[in-house]
Parts: sequence; C-alpha cells; structure tokens
Amino acid sequence: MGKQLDLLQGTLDMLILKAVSLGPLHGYGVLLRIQQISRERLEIQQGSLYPALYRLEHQGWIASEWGESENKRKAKYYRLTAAGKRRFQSETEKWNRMADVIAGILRATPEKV
Amino acid sequence: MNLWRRTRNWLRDVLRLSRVENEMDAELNAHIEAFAADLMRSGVAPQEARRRARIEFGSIEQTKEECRNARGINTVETILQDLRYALRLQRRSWGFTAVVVPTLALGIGATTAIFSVVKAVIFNPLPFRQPENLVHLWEGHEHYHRGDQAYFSSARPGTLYDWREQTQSFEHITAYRWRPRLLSDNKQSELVSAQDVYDQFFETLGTPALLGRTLQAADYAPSAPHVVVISNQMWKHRFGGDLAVIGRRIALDRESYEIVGVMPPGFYPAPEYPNLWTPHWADQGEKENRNIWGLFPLARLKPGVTWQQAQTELDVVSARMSRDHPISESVGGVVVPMDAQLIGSSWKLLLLLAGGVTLLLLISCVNVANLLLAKSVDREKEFAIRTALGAGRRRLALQLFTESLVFAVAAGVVAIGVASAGTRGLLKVLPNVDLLPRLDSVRVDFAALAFVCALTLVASLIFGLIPLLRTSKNRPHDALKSDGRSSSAGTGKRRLGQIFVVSEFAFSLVLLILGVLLVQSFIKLQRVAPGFDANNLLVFHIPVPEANYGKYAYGERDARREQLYEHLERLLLQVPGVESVGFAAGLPLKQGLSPSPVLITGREPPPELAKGKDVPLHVQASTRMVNPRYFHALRVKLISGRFFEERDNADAPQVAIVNQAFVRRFFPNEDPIGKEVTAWFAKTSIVGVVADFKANALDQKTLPEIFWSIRQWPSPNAWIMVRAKSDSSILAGTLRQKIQDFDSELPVQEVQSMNDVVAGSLWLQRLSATLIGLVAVLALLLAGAGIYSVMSYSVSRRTREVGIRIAFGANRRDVLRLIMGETFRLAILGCVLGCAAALVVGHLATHAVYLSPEQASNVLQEGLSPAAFVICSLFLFGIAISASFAPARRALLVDPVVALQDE
Repeated sequence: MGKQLDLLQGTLDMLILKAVSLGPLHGYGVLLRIQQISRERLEIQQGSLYPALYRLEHQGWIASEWGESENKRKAKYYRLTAAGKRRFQSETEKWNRMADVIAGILRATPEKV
Repeated sequence: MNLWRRTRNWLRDVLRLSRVENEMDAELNAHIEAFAADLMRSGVAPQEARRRARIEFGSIEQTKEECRNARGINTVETILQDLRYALRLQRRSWGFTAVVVPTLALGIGATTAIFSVVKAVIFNPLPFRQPENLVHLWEGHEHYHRGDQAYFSSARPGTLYDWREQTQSFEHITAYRWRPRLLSDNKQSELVSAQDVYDQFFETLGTPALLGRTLQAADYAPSAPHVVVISNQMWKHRFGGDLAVIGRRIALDRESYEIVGVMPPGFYPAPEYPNLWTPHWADQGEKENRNIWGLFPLARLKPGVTWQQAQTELDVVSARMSRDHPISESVGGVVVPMDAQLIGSSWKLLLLLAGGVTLLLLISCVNVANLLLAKSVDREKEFAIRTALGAGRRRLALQLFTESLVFAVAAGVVAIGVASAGTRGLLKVLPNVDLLPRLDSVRVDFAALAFVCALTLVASLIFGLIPLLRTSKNRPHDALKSDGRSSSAGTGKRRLGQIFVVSEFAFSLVLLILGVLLVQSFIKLQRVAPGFDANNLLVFHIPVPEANYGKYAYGERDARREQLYEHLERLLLQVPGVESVGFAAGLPLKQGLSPSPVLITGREPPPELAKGKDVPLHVQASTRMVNPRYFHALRVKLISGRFFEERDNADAPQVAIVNQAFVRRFFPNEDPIGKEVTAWFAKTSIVGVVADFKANALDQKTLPEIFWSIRQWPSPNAWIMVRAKSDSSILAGTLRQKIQDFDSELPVQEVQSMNDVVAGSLWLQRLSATLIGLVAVLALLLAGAGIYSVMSYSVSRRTREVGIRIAFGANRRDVLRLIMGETFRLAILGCVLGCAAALVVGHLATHAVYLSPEQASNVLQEGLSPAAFVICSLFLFGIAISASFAPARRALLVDPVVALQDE
C-alpha cells in the first residue's frame, strides 16, 4: 500500500455514484466504501463529501431517505435513482474512453508520431 | 423532466428551509459520531476520538455553506438572513435609521415632485396624433430657434390661403380665430371663449371626439346647418356630463347651433381653454383678404419633414408672396413646433428647479454616504471576523447590498408621501397662467419616483460597499490586529470623508448663493417704481360680444364700439368716488402688444425692412389704443405737447402720443411734436410726449411706445382702469352693477386692484425665489447636519491621537491648531469650489429666470456681489468650525491616559 493519492478533479461524483450503486449508504458509509474499494489508496476530504452528495441529490442522480444505521442511530441513506444509473453508465463509458485515449497518448513512442 | 425535478427539489428546500437546516445538522453530526465510534473501536479514548473526528472532518460551517450552495438554496436563504439582520441592525441603531431614512426620503420626494411637474409640462407628449409633426405658423420676421421668445404676429386669411397653395411641406394647414360667443339659454347669457375654426382643423390635430363627431368637410359650406363641438369642461359643467347632449341645440350669438360632438378632457392644452369650436367658411373675398389679422394657423408636417425644412420652404414662398403682393407689406412666415409654443419659456424655470432639487438629492446622498462610511469604520472588525471565519467576498457584498436595499426601500416608501405632498404643494403655488400649460395633468409620476429611487439605490450601493473594499484590501488579520490600536481612521477613509465634506460645502453653497441671489433681486424688483400710480386704481376687463357690437376688424371704423366705450366712460365717471377712467387695449404689466417696425415720414425706412429681412427690436415700437383720460387715470406725466382730447375722434386727423423712450430712440436731437410715424400700417402724427412707465415688465427697460386714440382706433376689447378718490376696492360692486344695468350681456372680468397686477407680474420671480429659497434652506439643513456629523465624528476619532501627542508633551494649543487646521483647509476648499460653481450657475439661472439679458446682467452685478458669497461662505464655515471645535476641545480636555484607553 503506497502513498495515498489525491482525488482527480471531478471524479468524486463518479465514485459516489459507484458506491451507492452497490446498495443504499449513508454519508459515512459512502466514505468507508470508497476507501474500501480503493483499498485505502484514495484520500477523500471528509468535508468535501457532503457538498457532493447534496449536489448529486439536487441533480436527481441520487435520492435520500432517513433510516436507521447499524448502531441504531438515525441516518440519511442515499440510493441511486434510475436517472442516476443511466448517468453512471454514461459517465463510466466516458471515463473509460478518456482513460484509453490518455493512456494511448502516454504510450506513444517517437516512431509512431 | 430533470429540470422539473430540480426545480421541485429547490422549491421544496426553499419552502422548508429550517427543516433542511436541521437535517443537515443531524446528518453531519451522525457522520462525526460514526467516525468517532470507529476510532473508539480502534482503541482511542472517547473524548480524544470525538476531537480527532471533528478535526479530520474540517470546518463544519464551511461544509454546510457548501452544501447549501450545492442545493441552490443558499441565495434565497442568505437574502432572508441578511434581511433579518439588516432589519435587526436598523432597529438596534434606530438613531441612524431616523437620520438616513428621512434624509433620503426628503431628497427623493422633493426631486420626484419637481420632476413630476417637469415631465407633465415639458416631456409628456401632447394629446394629439403624432404631436411632433404639429406646428404653429405665424406671420413675422424673427427666425425662430426652439425655446426662444420672439415676437410674432397672427396671420391674415390671404396669407393662410397662399401658404396652403404654395407650400409642399405640410399635410394640412388650418387656422382658428378666437371669438368670444354669447351663449344663452332661457335664464341667462354668458360670454364664453370659443374658436372659429377653418376647415381641416380637427384633421390636423388628429384627436377624435369623445362623443359624437368632430367637424367634417360638409360643415364648411355657406349653406351648411350651424353645428358646434363643445369642450369636455363645458359638457361637464354646463350639461352635467349628459350623454344625450349630442343633437341638442344651443344659442350662440342668438343663433341656434346643434351640438355634434364633445371633445375628450385635456384636448387642446392651451392655457386659455376654448369652450367650443364652430366651423368657419371663408368666401372668395376673405381668401384674398390681406388686411384682417387675428388668425392662428396650425399645420401638420408631412411625415419626414422637419420644422426647419418647412421654415426654409416658407421663407422661399414668403419672398415670392412679397413680390406678388407688394402693397400688403408681407412679413414672412415663422414655423414654431407645437410643444415649444405651448410650453413657452416656462421650461427655464422648471429646469432651474430641477437642477436645484438634483443638488438637494446629491446632498442627501452624500449625507447618507457619510453616515454609512462612518458606520463602516465601526463594522470593519465585524467584517474582518466574518472573513476570517470563511465568509466569501460575494457573501459580504450580498449582505451590504441587502442592508442598503432596506434603507433605500424604506426611504422610497416615505418618499411617496413626500412626493405627493410636494406635488400638491407645487400645484398650489404654481400659478395657472399662460406660461405653464398642462398643470392640470400633473400627477405624482411613478416613473420619476422609480428613477430617483433607483438612482439613490445605486448611490447608496456604491457607498454601502465601501467597508467591503477596505476589508478585503487589508487582509482580515490586519484589521483584527489594528482594531483598538489605530491612532486614527485609515487614510483612505479619511480622504473619502474629506471629499464628502468638500462636496457638501460646494453643493449647498451653490444653492444658498442662488437662493440669496433670487430672493434679493425679487425684493429689489418689488421696490421698482412702475412709473405710474398703482394705488387706488381698480382694473377690469371687458370683452365685447360680437353678437351685440358687430365683428371687429383691425383698421376698420367701428361706430358701435366707439359709442360703447364713450358711453361706458361717461357712465363710470358718474359713479361717486371715481376720479378718472382710463380705457386701453391691454393693461400695463399684464398684456403687452407686439412691437411693429416704425417708419418715419421723410426718412429712409430701416434698411433691414427694405430688404425684407429681420427688423431688429430696437427700431420697433409697441402700440396701444387708449382713451383721452388714460394718462390721467394712471397719473403719468406729460413731458411736452398735449394729451388726447375728445376732438381726436374718427373724423379728425389721426394722432399719436409717444413715450420718452420713443423720443430717445427715434428723435434724439429733434422735437418729435408734429412728426408723422407709421406703425402697424397706420400713419399718425405725434401730438404729445409722456413720461416713461413700465408697460411690459418691471425688470425691463421701457420700450419705445406709441399710443393711439381709442376714438380713432377702436380695440376689440377694453381694459378699464378706474382711479378712485380713496380706497378703490369698495367701488368694485357699484361699477359692476352700473355696467350690468347698462348691458346685462357685457361681461366684467378679472376685477382686481392695479397693485395686484403689479405684484402678479412678478410671479415668475416670486415663484423662483420662493422655491429655490426653500430648496436652499432644505439643502442648508441637510448639508449642515452632514458636515457637522462628519466633522465631529472625524475629530472624535482622533481622541487617541490627541492623547498620544499630549502624553509626549505637545502643547495643547498646537494640537488644537493641528486639528482645526484640517477643518479650515476643507472648509476653504469647499467654499472656493462652491463659490466658483455658484458664479457659473448664478449666470445660467439668472438668464433662465429673468428673461431680459439686460436685466439679468444688472441682477448679476448686484446680486452676485462678493458680499453674498462671503456671507454664505461664512455661514457654512461657522457650521464646520463649531462642528469640529466642540469635539476637539473635548479631546484636549481628556486625560491622556483615558484617551489612550479609549475605543
């Protein structure tokens, strides 16, 4: 496990969508799940998580409702909406295409140019 | 869909702001709790776990702020929050509010009131179709420039028809003639003002009738039935607004007329409102008549033709007409735009007032800016703290904006009251004379109010944002550090305060000097001797009904009028207490007559006249028909020759009396008696010279005048001046009764004392002196309060500095000199700037109010004396000195130790 990486600009939204696509989560749960999936390699500012959640909810990609957490406390659970699912798919495709392109560019050797 | 959901979310959030806030709190707390619980599970002590959870999380407030932003509820919520805060601030510092709101309201209200009047009188379009294409046509020489006052003459039918035939610039040319009509019903007769109109009159103006119809082509035929269109005023007052009035018959000059139409209210916004319009049909003889004057032509320009182009064409046509009719002494035509004609010269007074209140508004804005600035010093710390806690610049700007808005709105609401009271007050003092038409249409203009409010809002916003500027310039910790330790206010802020003080000085000084100038010259004018004895002189006007005394035509013999005047004279002389009775066409200081070029037999005519060019006023003279007792009644002295006598009647040679000004102008080194002069195409020989008296205006030099005998040149109507042996006012009833007994249909109008006429002739000067004086007093109060508050505030801010200086052993007198020195410098700068501006404004204003340039320069020489400047400057100076002296003394008396602990 190397040094933790800072999050790329604009990727937090995608990670949140991915996290909640696996099942409803409260804010802290989202944080834990991202860290878990990334195997602790990503550093997420805790304060920046909530504005992102609020923004995604405002845009209608995720919806929230109050429920009970594992330790019997009231918590706000976020889940992916149908619109969010579509959004997540298109974002994923876009990301993959972009990653391919960038990787291709970075792989380029002098002979190919 | 998506947009809808977003809007719905947003609306829900906005509507349930407090719930959203609570949920946000709960959610973030839950997060921290959960985090802390995890930490505890890994063995951290509970308290330490919570502390670390909080630190790891970062600023909760900032997160919340960003969350609010993310949902878009922030703006609304912020505004509500700021509004609450601003209102709380206003309540807490009610003293501040009590100063700012009335100050602004006064400025806004006064400005709105004046601008409402200015807009209604000058800028609102006239109630005609495409009023910009309407022009008046005059016969005359002077080339007209918009806004000028020049002398023109009414037109003759021959000229009117020539214009119609020979010009291309006009869509329609029509004309009206004033013709008082005897309106009689079963009970009584009444002489009403009416217009005899030529064909196309209503087509030219383009205003449809309110009821019925206007006049049509068929009405202008020799055999057409008599029809009449009545004014709205007459319809309301005489017919009680009866809808069935169309088709009714009324008797005009004892002939039956059918009412065919009622015009809408405000139609024809002339000061002397005609009550009815009757069609006038001109026969061939009249169409060629070049001797009868008294027509007032109106015309509509073809689309795209300017009045200047029409004037050019009229010049060409006039030159040709002069060639075709050499005997008629044609004098050419003048085109005057309708709006300029109606507004006359009143715009000068109104613009002067508008300028005055604008200065007042500026002063009140500067006052408020001053107060906001002073307050900003106190709030610097507040803003520094808020910046340190993470408030962004936009957030702070929004808050200041809201605070300014609250003030501006409060002031605007109060200003509505001020404006409506002010407008009503203005309408009371503005006389409804022929110089100010359309006053009846004046209302509080909400467009003007909104404009002035917006202006004030912008001004207060700019000033309101000053504290922000300062805060972000200094980084917050600087402001926090410096607080409580500054030796004085920051330089930038002090500079701004100083600019405010200087500008208030300048603005109010301008108004003050202007007020003094106008009041002073008005008082001086009141003392001007008119040259005749106005005491115990009763005057009234008798328009002569044509139905009873025949149509009047200038230059034609008129036995019935001659007899009427002679008879009335004898009748009135018999009344006990009457010493003398004067008859004249027109009244001194009330009704002047147009001057005419003067030709002197045996001399070359003025070269300009021969060339058909403009004749300068100085070779013209005005004429007046008077009876033999006229000069006796006015108590005007005879200089040489003789007065008119009864033998100067229609059968005797035509004679004239001239005044001294006439002699000075035309016979400087000759005896004028026996010389022959021609004016208005009438040749007369001079038999007498009378002393000069003020005939046109008290503030003008007496112009050359020629008097004719009313026995030889009857006037269409008469002003009668009755010289009483004692108090003239008790005679009024008796005289009226005498005339009524003689002819009950002879109206006796405008009965008043000559002293009132003299005072009334100064209405413009009185009005401008009163209003500008009032504005000046208001400005003085506002500026005085403003200067006082700034000066005393800035001096009291320096208490600490004074303490330090004294503690270091400075001489108290030196410190006092240091502090007062600044006040002196500002006051002197303000006075110099203000005096310079007042000099310029004074020149402009005097020319605006006193129409004759000659008198204006007199007023300027006397009024703009150094004394007025010095006194006004000293006055404001005193305010500034006393404003800074008291706090300076207090600062000096304070124990240095206490002063250092101050703040």
